[in-house]
Amino acid sequence: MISNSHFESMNFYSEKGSLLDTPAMDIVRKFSKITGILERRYAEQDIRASDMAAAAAAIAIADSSIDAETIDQIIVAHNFGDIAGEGSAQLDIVPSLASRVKRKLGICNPDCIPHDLIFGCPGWLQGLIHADAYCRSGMAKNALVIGTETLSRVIDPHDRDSMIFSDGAGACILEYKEGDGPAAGILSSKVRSDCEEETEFISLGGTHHPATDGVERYIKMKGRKVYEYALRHVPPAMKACLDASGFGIQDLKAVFIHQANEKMDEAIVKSFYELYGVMDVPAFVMPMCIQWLGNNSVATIPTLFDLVRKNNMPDHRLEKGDLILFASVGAGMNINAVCYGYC
Amino acid sequence: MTIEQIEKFIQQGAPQNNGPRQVAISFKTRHMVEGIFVKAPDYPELRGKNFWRIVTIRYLEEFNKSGDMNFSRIFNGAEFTKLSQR
Repeated sequence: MISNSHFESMNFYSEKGSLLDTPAMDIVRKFSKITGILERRYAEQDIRASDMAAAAAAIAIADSSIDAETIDQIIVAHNFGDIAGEGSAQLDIVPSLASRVKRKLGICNPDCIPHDLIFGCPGWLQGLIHADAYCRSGMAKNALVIGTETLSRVIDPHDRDSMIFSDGAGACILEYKEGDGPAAGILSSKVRSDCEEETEFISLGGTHHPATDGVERYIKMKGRKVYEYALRHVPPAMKACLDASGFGIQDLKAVFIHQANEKMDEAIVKSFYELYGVMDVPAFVMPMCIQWLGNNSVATIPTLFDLVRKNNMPDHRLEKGDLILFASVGAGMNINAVCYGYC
Repeated sequence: MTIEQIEKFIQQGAPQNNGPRQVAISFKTRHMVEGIFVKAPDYPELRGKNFWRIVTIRYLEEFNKSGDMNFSRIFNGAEFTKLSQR
C-alpha cells in the first residue's frame, strides 16, 4: 500500500522539464482533492500482471463454481503486458498474458482459446462485450474475462500524474444461459472510438526530468484533454446504452464507472443524469473505490463490482434483477458502456 | 414504493412546528435515512421518475437557515420500503 505521503519528498517537473516551484506537499494535497486518491496498491516486485490475472481468475472460477476445463475463451485485457519489475521496464507480451493465465490455472483443454485485448482502460469492459458477442454467435458458451495491470512499473516518478496510477486485477466468468427474467445479463452495449488527435491524449513518453536520458518510456496523460473528451463523449454513450436496454433512468440502481479521477467521474455521471433532466446524481448510485485503490486501468471496474457484489462497500448493495450500468473511457481514445441486469 | 404511494404520504402529513415534517425512510438494502422532503423547481421532473429531493437531518439546520437546495440529495423512490413520521 502506497499512501500519498510517499510522494511528498519527490521532485516533480513540468512537461517541458522545469522543476515545479510548488512544494511537493502542496502538489500532493491538491492532487488528492481533485482525484480523491488517498492511497493505492503496488504489486510486490516478484508479482507480474499475469500472476495477478491468474489469482483474480482463480477467485472468479471458484465463485462461479464452473469447471475451469470447460472455459471456452480466456480474454485478458491489459495495456503493458508483464513487466519484470525493478531493474527492467521491458514489456513482455509473448506469449500472450492469456496463454500464461491458462497455464497458471492448469487448463489443458485445447478448445479453450486465450487471447489478449489492448483497448486502454476500457479493456476489461470491452472484453465483456467481446465475450457476449462470442456467446450470442454460438462460438462460445462461456468466457473468463480478466483485466490486469502493473502501472506502477511504467510511471515517471518526476511526473505528478504518476500518483494516479496503481496495480490491480479483476476477473469474471461470463456464461450464456437462456432467459432468466426480463433484466438478466448483458442487455445492451455502446462503444465509441476516436483516433485522430485523441491518440496522443494517453500514450508512452519520456521522463519529465530534464537531465535523464530519455530511453525509458512512461505512461503519459494530457489530463485536461482527457477530461474534456470524457465529459463530452462519455455521458451520451452511457445514455445510448441505457436507452438501448429499453429501461429508463429511474430503473438504474448503480453506475460502475472506471475509477479514473473522482472529480471527473462525478462530473461524467452528473452530466449523464442531466441528459435525463435529473440535475443531481441520486444518492447511493455511484460506488467509488479510487480513494484507496487508485486508478489501475482495466482492473477498476471488475474490482469495484466485486467489492459491491460481496457487500464490502457500505451503502452499496446489489440484488438479483437490479439494473446497473458499466462505463469506461481511456487510451485510444475509447469509450464503452454496458447495461447489465444483475443475476 | 411507487410515485403514488410516496406522494400520498407527503400530502397527508401535517406540518411540524410550521415546517415540513421529518420522516424516516427505510430502504431495501441500506440503513434508514431521516430528513425532510423538499420541493425544488425540478420537482415535477423528478416526481415523474420517482426521484425525490430530501434534506437529511445532518444538513437540516443549515438548510433551514439558507434554503440552499445544494443541501438536498436525490433519492430513488423505488428503493424505499417504508415512510414514517419521526
